[in-house]
Amino acid sequence: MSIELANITKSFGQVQALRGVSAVFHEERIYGLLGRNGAGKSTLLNILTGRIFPDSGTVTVDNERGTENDSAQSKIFLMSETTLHPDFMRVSKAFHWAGIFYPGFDEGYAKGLAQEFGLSLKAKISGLSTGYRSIFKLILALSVNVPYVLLDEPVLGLDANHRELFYKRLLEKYTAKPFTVVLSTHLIEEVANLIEDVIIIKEGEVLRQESRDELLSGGYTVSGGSAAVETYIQGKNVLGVDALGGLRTAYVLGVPERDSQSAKDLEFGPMDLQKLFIQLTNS
Amino acid sequence: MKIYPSFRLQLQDHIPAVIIYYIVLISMALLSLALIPFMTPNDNIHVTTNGVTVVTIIFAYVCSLCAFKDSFLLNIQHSVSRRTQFIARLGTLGTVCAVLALGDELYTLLLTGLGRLFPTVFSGESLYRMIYSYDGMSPKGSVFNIIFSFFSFLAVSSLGYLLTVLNYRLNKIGKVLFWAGTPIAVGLIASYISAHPSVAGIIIPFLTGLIWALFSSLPRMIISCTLLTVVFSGLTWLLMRRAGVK
Amino acid sequence: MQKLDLSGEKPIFLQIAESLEDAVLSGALTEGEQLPSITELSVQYTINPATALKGINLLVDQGIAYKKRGVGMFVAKGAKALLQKKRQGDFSKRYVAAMVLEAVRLGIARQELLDMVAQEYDCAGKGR
Repeated sequence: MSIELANITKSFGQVQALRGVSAVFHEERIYGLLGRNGAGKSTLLNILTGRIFPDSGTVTVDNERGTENDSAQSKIFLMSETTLHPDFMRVSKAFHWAGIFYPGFDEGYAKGLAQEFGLSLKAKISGLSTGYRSIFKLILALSVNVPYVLLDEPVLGLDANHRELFYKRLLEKYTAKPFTVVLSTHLIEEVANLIEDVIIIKEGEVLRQESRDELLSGGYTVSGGSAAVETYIQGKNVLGVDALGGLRTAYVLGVPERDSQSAKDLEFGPMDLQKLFIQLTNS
Repeated sequence: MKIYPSFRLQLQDHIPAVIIYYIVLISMALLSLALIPFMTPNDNIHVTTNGVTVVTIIFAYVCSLCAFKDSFLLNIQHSVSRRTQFIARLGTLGTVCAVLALGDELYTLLLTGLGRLFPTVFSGESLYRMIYSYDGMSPKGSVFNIIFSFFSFLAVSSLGYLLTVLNYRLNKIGKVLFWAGTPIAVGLIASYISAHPSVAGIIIPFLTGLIWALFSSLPRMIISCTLLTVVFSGLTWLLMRRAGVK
Repeated sequence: MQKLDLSGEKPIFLQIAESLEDAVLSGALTEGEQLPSITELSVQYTINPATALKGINLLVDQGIAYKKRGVGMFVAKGAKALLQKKRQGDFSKRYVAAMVLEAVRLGIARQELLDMVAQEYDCAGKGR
């Protein structure tokens, strides 16, 4: 059971937002959909959920056609930056409607979360701050109980306490009864430990799609004096080099050669996801 | 499977407006009732339902002009396909028009009743009777009344809805061209026709004949309005099926 | 449970395994006692449950913990002794190598280093 995107292309006027994107979201895994601002993450999620139409390509949900298909789409819930609820609607009403459209919606749980986050049920959606609008939407996403939950920049505007609370509740739900989560964000560091799989989007294309562990074990950092580092990285697949005075840190793909002659006086370290992401997506 | 929830959602949009509409109408009648002790023979207050169907037609039209965007977006948020939304909309259309048709008839009956008590102040006429010269206040008359209202509302509401979906699909330039351009075009055509009697001599009889053919009797009117509703709804679907979220 | 080192130097699952090992060694977790659940671990540290599971499985593989079907993970009998033996074996690689490397870097002579170690050991013995 999975969501499959095959060769999705989308242009907005002159701008090509997605060029032949193919990706798979398997059941019960936490994905990080990572990309810089404007890389095409939101467009991808909007196409996946039928909010906009691709120029070409297909969306398949659990082996069914994903486009304009109620039963397929009702397995998916997208929490996006744009608010589709009418301005004048109150939070409690929004919960009420969610319950009508999604049989699995847990209104009690949603109300409990609202209290924890300090969201007033009587508040009008238009009157909510950016942070509370995000909170409103992520409460819906956590309470809707569908197999595929997509979160587009879920913690936009949230303070540190609320972010922590959100991640904890998300993990509680996930460990109690696993479902697919797609976290689309540019806040790599925060989600690095939450996600199991990584999809990196760069300028409308999928740069990498693999498990986080595989991705990170595919590279390393090497630091030391500039001359030593420069010698070592000859002929290697280098993503980038940071310089600080006479010291260098290089980001290299592959397996570290600690025993080689050129590795003397050099320090080897693991690559972390954010550094790897930055190196991969710098043009 | 999401047709019923979508129907409820779209219907919900209309309920407050319809309720307020009838509250206003009834309030006006009651207000006049309350003023009767203070009226002198010279006062020329007359509350009639002559025009109520016309007013409701305008109301139905305006209601559907506002009906699309909010519910479309909310439906999409809840993973409802456009096809389901469209089908649910047809249900909403039928329901609202039926409610309005019934509401009008009840209002007419109310005023007819009041008219028996205060003939100078109240009278219950119906547009249907006026157009089709049907005599008598009978249950049969009420039924015909309701049918007439229902089908006129259907045609007008589906037109309003078509226009609002069209408006949603158009970009800024398109909107200006359409909303400003259409009245201008109509105005130009009308002034051309009135300036050229020979042309007028052909077109006006043609139009009059067309309207006669389409609406001269209740059965004809039903068929014509149904056809119009089908055409408007069909065009709406063509516009709706590729509508994206903005 | 101590904080995780998120710098990326040591894999999270390894940190979890070692943290639990430390607890067994210090007696905070006794033999037969239940380990924190995957849920508890992942929520506490906000990490993916698969990572927590990987850490726990490391302990199971070494015979330090075992799984009771339908109940959870428990500290195995003899786990403390096992760990002490393992860590004794690791001791040289873990602590001594790094210490010697740093001493060499600082230019401390071999005998001087040995004297330092002896002194430190005696002090610790007195303070026990």
